[in-house]
Amino acid sequence: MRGPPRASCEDVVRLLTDYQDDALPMSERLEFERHVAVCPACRGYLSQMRAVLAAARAGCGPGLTPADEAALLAAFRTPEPDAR
Amino acid sequence: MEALRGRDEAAFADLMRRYTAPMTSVAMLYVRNHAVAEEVVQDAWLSVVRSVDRFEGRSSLRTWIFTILANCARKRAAREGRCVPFSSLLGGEPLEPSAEPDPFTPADHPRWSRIWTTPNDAWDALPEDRVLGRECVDVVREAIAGLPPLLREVMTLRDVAGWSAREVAEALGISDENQRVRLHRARARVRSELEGYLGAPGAGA
Repeated sequence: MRGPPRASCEDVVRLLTDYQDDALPMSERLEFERHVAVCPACRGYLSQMRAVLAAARAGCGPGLTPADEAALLAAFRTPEPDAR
Repeated sequence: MEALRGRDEAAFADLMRRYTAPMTSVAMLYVRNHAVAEEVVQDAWLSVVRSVDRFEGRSSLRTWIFTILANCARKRAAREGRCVPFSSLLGGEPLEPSAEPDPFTPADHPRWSRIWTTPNDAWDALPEDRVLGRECVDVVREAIAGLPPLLREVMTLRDVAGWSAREVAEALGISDENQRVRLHRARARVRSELEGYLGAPGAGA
């Protein structure tokens, strides 16, 4: 009845990044998904990790100020001869 | 790329809007001061403008721009006497093991081996704007900044700047597997820092 040994929660945590980067062999991938499907605590962990990644992404540095952007565009328009 | 060589301003403006923020994050890997990082990014853009005619298309445009950025940042960091994190890779220093408390049941548990002893639902009870709010963004940024350089580089490039696994492995000259190991440790640490901030399991809020 039982298939091969099931993934534990620890396995899910250990394999999470490999799973997300699509680096798991199919059998482990299926084990991972099978476990997560029935494990609220692992789904909780995954959702916490999603929040971390969203926050990391939102913490990306600010863009250019309009003044700096205008100055760079002007330089782009009329490049100085390469001074390097 | 052709558009840039042809001095297409709209294309250049678009490029600046897309890359400046991630470039600032990457510059912060070399110089710790935000204002300096912004200056480095401007230097890098100027350098891009000046050398666009010499871009040979052997790498992607993005890789090329970030290589220029890295050079500008290294020069600046050297001038300020700050050691440069990318060079830390050459030594191949070992990653220290993490010392987190074990959140799983014992391996010899007769029935439930290595499963969570916490439901990981502590954050669910918090208002959404707390979990996704500015404060958490700041906590995560600080947590990333506090990582050891080997981990910080990978997480900054992958999760802040949005690079692909392949791009990061290539840029740092490491294997795909090593890239994943570092990313994994970095994310786990940052998550546990955020957990510490939001309230540990069972601690309410």
